[in-house]
Amino acid sequence: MATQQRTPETTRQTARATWAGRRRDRMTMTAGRAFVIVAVALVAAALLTSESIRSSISRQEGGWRRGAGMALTAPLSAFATALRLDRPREGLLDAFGRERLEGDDTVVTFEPGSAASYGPGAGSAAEDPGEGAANGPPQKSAFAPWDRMRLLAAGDSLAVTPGFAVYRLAEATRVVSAVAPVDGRISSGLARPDYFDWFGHVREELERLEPDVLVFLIGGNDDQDYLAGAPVLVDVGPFGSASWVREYRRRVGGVMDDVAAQGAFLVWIGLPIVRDDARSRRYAVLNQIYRSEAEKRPEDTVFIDTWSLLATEDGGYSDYLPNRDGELIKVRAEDGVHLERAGGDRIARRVLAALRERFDMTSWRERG
Amino acid sequence: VLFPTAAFAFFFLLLLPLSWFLMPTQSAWRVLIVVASYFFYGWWDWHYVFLLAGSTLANQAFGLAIYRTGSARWRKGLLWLAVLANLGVLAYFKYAGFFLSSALNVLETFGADAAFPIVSATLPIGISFYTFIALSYVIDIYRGDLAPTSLPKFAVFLSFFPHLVAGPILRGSEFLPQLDSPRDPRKVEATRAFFLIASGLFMKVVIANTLATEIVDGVFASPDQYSSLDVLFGIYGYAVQIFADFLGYTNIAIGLALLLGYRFPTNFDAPYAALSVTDFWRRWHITLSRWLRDYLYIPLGGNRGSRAQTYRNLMLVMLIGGLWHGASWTFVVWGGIHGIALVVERRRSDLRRDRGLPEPVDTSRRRFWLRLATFHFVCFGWIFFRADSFGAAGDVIVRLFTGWTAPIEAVSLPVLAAIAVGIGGQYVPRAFWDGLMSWYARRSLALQAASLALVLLVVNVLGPVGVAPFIYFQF
Repeated sequence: MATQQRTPETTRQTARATWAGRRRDRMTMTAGRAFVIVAVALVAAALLTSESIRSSISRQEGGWRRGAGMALTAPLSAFATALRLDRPREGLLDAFGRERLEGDDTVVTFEPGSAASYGPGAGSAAEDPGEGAANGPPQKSAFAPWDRMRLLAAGDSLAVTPGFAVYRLAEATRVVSAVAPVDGRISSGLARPDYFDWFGHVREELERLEPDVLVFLIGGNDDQDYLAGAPVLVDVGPFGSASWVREYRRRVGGVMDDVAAQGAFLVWIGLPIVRDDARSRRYAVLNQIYRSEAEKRPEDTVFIDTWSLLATEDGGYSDYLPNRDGELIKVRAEDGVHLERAGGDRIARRVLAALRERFDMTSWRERG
Repeated sequence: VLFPTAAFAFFFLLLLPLSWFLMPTQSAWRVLIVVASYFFYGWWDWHYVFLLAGSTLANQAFGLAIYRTGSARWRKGLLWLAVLANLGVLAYFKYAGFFLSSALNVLETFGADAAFPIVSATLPIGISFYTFIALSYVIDIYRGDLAPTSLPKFAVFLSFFPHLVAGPILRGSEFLPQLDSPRDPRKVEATRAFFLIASGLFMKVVIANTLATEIVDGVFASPDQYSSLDVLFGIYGYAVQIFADFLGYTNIAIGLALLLGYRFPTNFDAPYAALSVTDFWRRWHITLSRWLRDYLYIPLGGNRGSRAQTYRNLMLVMLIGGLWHGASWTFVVWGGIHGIALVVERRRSDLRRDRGLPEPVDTSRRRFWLRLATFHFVCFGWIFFRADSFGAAGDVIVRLFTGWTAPIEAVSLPVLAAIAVGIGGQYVPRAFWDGLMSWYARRSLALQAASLALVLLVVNVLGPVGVAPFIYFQF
C-alpha cells in the first residue's frame, strides 16, 4: 500500500482541508432550521413592508390573483399598522430620501366647473367648445430660438421611447426646449391614483415647470376593472361598462381641463395596437375615450392616433413595419406592447406635425 | 413568477417544507417539483407550459431512441432530427420575424417584389435556456457521455424552476446524479444560500434597477438629451446593470436550489476584473461559454485544425453566441466585436509562441491597465447590445464625443454609488465573503432570521418602485 510522506506542504494541505471541512459543516444546517429562518425572515419582512406589498399587489390587473393577494395581505397590513411595524420602513424611506408611492384611495377630484368635477357647473368647460370658435381661429403662438417652446413629455412606461423621440425631433427645430427628462412612471395610469397620483402630479409639474406643451401618453395599464379613487357610491362596474367609461372619461377630461387651466397645450398620444388581440380591443375602448374628450377641447388638446401609425396595411399588429424607404424595421419591443426607437420616431414625427399645425415654429426664419 | 415578488416568496415558503417532507419518497418529490415548476412557468402564461412539456417528451424520446439504436447512421440521423426540432421551435418563436424581415429587405434590394407575412410570436420566457439544456442532454447521450435517465427525472432536470427561465444552463452530468438519491436534510448549505439570495436581490432590485431608471434608459433612448459625461456613465451604468441583473438572477437561482438541496454551477467569476477578452469569457455567463465551447466550437473543429480554421471557429461561435442573445443584427455585431477580439488575442499569443518570446512580466501595473482596457472594450460592445438599432448605437457613440459642454443631467450620487458597488464588489477577496458567511453561520437562529429580514427591508426601501423583468428573460 502506498504511503504518503508527511511534508510541510501536505501538513498544510491537510490542515486546510480539515479547516474547510469544519467550515463547511458550520455553513450547513438542517432543512428544518433553514426553513424556520426563511419563514421567520419572510414573515418579518412582510410585516415591515406590508404597505409596499399591498400597494404592489393592488397595481396588478384584476382577477383572482389580485383578489387573493389583497385578501391575504389585508390582515397582515392591519396587524403591522396596529403594532406600528411600518415605522422602520418609513424612517428608512425618509433617511434615504426615497419617494413613498403607496397612497390612500382618496377620491379623484378636479376644480369646480371642470367637466370632470361633480356637482353644480360640472361639464360646462367641455360641453361648450364653441365659445372660442365663435371668434374665429386663434392666432398661432410663435416660437423662435430666442423664445423657445417649453416642452414636457410624461406618462406611463409606454411614454418613454416616444417621449424621448419627440424631444429629439422637436429640439432639432431649434425652437423647442425640453424642460425636464421624460417623466415615465412604470405601471402607472389614471386608473390607480392610489399607486401614482397623476392628477396631482400633472398639476404640480405644470406649476413647477411651466411648459407650453405637455405631450402625454398614458393608459397602457388602465385596461382593468378596478378604478381606485372613484367617488363614494359610484359603482364603476367592470372595464368597458357604461359606468366604468363614465368614470374614466371624467378622469381623462379632468386632466385635459387641468392642463388647459395651467395654460399649456396638451398633445394626448393614443395607445398603439398591441400583439395581444384582447388587450388591443381594450386599448381601442380607451382610445375612443381619449379621442372624444380631446375633440371636445379642440383649442387646448389634440389627440394623436398611433393605432393606424403602428398597424399593418390590413390593420393587424406586426413587430416589423416598412419605413419610408420600404425597408422593414423593428418598431415594437419583444413584449409586443412597448416601442423600439423606430416606433417612437414614427409617433414623434406625427406629434411634431401636430405642433407645427398648432404653433408657428418657422416664421422666425423670415423675421431674421 | 418573478423572484423578487411577494407571490414568489409565498410560493417558495409553501414549497420548501413540502419538498423536504417528500424528499425521502423520490417519486412523489419529482411529481411535486414538476408540478410546482410548471405552475411557476404557467404563472406568466399557461399556454407555454405545453411547449415545455412537449420539449420534455420529445427530447426524452430522442435521447432514448439514440441510446437504443445500434446503427451509427440512424443515431446520427436522430441526433440531427433532435437538433433541427429544438432549433426549429426556437427559430419560430425567436427568429422568424427577424429572418423574414431581413430576407424581404434583401429581396427588395435586388428588386424582387416579394411579400409574405411577418410572424410576430410572443417569445416564451426561458426558451433559449431550456432548449440549450435539452440539446446538451441529447448530444451527451449521442456522444456516450450520458445514459438516458427516466422521464420523471428528465422532467425535473429540464423544468426545475430555479433555473427554468434564465439559467444557469445545466448539464446532465452535473445535475442528474443529484437526482439519483434523496438529498440529506441534515446538511443543507443554507448559509451560502442566504448570502446568494440576499446579494442577488440587492444586485437586481437596488443596483440594476436604480441604474436602469436613473441613467441607462434615458441615455440609450435619447443620448442627445445628455452630456458626454452622462453618456459615458450611462454606458458604464449599463455594463453594471446587465451584470447586476444577471448575476442577481443567477445568485437567487443557485441559492434557492441550495435550499432545496441541489447544487448549480457558478455562472460568473468577477468578469470586470478580466485581464483580456478571452479571460472575460471565462468569467462571464460561464455556463453559456462552456455550452458554446462543447457543443459548437469543438464540433466545428475547435483548435485542432489550422490556425485560420481556429480563428474562423472562434468568429463563428461568437457570432452565433451573439445571435442567441436576440434576434437583431446589433447582437450579431456585438458577438462579432468580441469574436474579433478573441481572434486578435489568439493571434498575438500564436505569434509570441512562434517567435519564442517569453510571456510579459506580470506586474500589478500591467494588470491594472489590462483590466481597464478590457473593461472599456467590453463597455464598447455593450453599446451595440443595449441599443435597439445601429442608428441608436451610433448616436450614443457620437454623443460620447460631442456633448462635453452640455450640462450634466443624470450622473448623480446614487448612480456613482451603484456603479462603484457593482464594479468594486468584484475586487473584494473571496476570503472576505467566506469570513462573513462563517461569522453569520455561528449566529443564533433569531439573529440569522432578523438579519435576512433586514436585508429584505433595505432592498425594499432602496429599490425603485415596481419590479422590472430580468434582462436575460428575453433571451
